[in-house]
Amino acid sequence: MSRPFQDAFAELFQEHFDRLFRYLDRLCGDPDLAADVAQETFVKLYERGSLPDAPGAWLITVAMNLFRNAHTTRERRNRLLKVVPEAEMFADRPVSPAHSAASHELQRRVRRALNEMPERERQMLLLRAEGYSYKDIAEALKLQDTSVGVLLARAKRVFLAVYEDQSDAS
Amino acid sequence: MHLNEDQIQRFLHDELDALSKKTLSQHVEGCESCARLVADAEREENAIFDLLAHVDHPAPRVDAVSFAPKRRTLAVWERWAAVVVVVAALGGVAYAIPGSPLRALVEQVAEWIADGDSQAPPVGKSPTNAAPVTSGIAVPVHGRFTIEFTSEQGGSVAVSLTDEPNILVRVLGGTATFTTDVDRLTIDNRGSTADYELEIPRDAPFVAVSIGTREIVLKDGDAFATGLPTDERGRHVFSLSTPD
Repeated sequence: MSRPFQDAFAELFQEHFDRLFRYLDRLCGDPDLAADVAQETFVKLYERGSLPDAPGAWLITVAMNLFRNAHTTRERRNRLLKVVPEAEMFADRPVSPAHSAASHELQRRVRRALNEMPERERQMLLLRAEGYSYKDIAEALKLQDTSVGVLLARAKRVFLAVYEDQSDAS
Repeated sequence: MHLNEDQIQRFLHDELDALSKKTLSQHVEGCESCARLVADAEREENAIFDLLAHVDHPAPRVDAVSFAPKRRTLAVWERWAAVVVVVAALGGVAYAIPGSPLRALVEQVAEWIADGDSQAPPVGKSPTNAAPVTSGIAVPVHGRFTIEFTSEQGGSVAVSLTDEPNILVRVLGGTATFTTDVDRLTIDNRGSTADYELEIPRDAPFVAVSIGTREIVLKDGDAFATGLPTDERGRHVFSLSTPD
């Protein structure tokens, strides 16, 4: 690998790794899977040996492809690993004292609202929350750049509707 | 003219071209209704993004440097293998030199084999008494790791845990080609009848052993998930040709 590529890779990694992880984590609610996929995505980029024209969109696209495969594999592994209860495997990290029951309930409602959103709206909302540009979002989700604004407004409405619906119900 | 939904979003996210940005900015400054719409949209978005942060987990601590292919130090057996190769090469050169005593020695052994002489040759040991030729590889493991056999061919595989930090693979009585990656060891066993011994570090967080995409053994944390039988040494054993 050439030194310029390695430098550019390191810079891109600094800029994108955390937000790619956060996007995937919010998307699936499984931090281990999100970490695996985010790392594997950067391994693919490293193996590529050159930077794509639109790195943000490339990373999202590759990550989503890996995510779909890994998600299927993970489900299969869970069935095999009967010795480890699923609840333990995916248990939350140890919580701080400040992590109260109220915030746990808030967390549950946000998670549920995300889970109940249509796939495209969820991805769009989460990508924008990580600051991806309309161009990156359009390319990654295979949309027209011109439709991103309207679809994003819709995604936010859908999220709030589902979230507030739970709040009303409780 | 008031801002439509798309323009409000683009205005909010600075996704307008220069001309539109200038035009809409001037409009918003003078239009109380549109200014309120933009402010409401921004407030609503901030509230949503704050909510999203509640489901976050800490990002893993990974360094960009760790993605570079790891330089692997040679294991002891690899150093010995290198020595054997060098000695064999030097032997070949010595044999090729006209008048070499090595050439005479080899020819003497060859004659003995051709004559079927029951008397022991002047040098060497019976190959039938020798142990199977053993090759192998030692691979450091830092995270999730997969060991993949490429083919449903060959003998058996014995899997055990080790306190060593590296995954150890020994090939018994045959050949195999290894390809290593950061998180994967591929053992090309096509056309081979070799047996294998795999030793997996006890501390390895996650190791899967598979034949192609078929997973045979999984080690996840302390859990060693396999329904395979064990041999007299307590190692889990499976056959490459007829996977369990």
